[in-house]
Amino acid sequence: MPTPFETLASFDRLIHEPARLAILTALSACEKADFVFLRNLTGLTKGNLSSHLGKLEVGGLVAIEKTFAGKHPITYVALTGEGRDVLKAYWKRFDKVREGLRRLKPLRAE
Amino acid sequence: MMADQKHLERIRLLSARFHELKGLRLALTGACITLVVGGYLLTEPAPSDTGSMVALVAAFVLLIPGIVWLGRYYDSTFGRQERKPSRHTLAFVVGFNIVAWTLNAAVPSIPAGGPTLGLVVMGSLWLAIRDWPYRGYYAGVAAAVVAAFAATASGGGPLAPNLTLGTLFLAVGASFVPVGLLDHLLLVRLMKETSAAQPERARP
Repeated sequence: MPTPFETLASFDRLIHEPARLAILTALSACEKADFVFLRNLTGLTKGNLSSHLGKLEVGGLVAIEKTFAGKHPITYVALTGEGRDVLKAYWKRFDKVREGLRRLKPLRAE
Repeated sequence: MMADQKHLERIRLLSARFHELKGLRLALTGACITLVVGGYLLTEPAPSDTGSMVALVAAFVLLIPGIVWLGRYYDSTFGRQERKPSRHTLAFVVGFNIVAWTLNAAVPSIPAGGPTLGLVVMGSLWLAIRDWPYRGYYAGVAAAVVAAFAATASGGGPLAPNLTLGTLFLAVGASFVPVGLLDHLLLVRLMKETSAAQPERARP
């Protein structure tokens, strides 16, 4: 049986990276959100956010849709079905790791 | 790990409650109701429940341009987001209207609009409990409506029966102003906290 540390090390870096996890968490609570909302919420720069979204899109976890409101271009981002499943599975594993870490006994000096 | 967990919980709360936290719309609604219904109660020599209802509808019509403008302000300042579609909203609205209509028909002492005010009390208490401690101030709306009801003849108070509905609308409107402002401040504070916590750990 893998230790909590081995499980933690085996997490998919695509999701486990803090900024991408923040983006996915924000998207999991809504239908879709635009670029400005995600930038405000995560505090990422335009370039960083674009880069993270690009990686998530290539990984199939988010879908990006470009549209217009009047003359203003808007970039909407939404979690894909696969993205929702992967995120759910991630939190399940994460909770198990946390539970495992809680059960570990601290080493005592002989 | 715990700090990250809290940070993500805050992001989730903010994303899930984003539309509810656009509090300036609620504050404007409250201000409009207070001004129009309050104006009606002050200027009309013999205010009635029907007159109070008409004043309330007039307040809603008056605030439409302001709500549209505030919608644009929130879109450009905080960004756009769409909620998950709720499956139960339509069923709830239809069900509530049937219950309210039946109550009004069966119990004549309940003024028209009374069930809606009851819903405001229950709804605000539910919001205060659901988002405790962040939005505990919603209990103030329930307290204001109950206090206003107690002050009217229907609640055993000194105010005349024809003032019941108008006084209750006034209490709801007046309590919406601070609650809406607090919602807006919470939105600004949470946005600031979530965005400030991220950049140091966020290289692509």
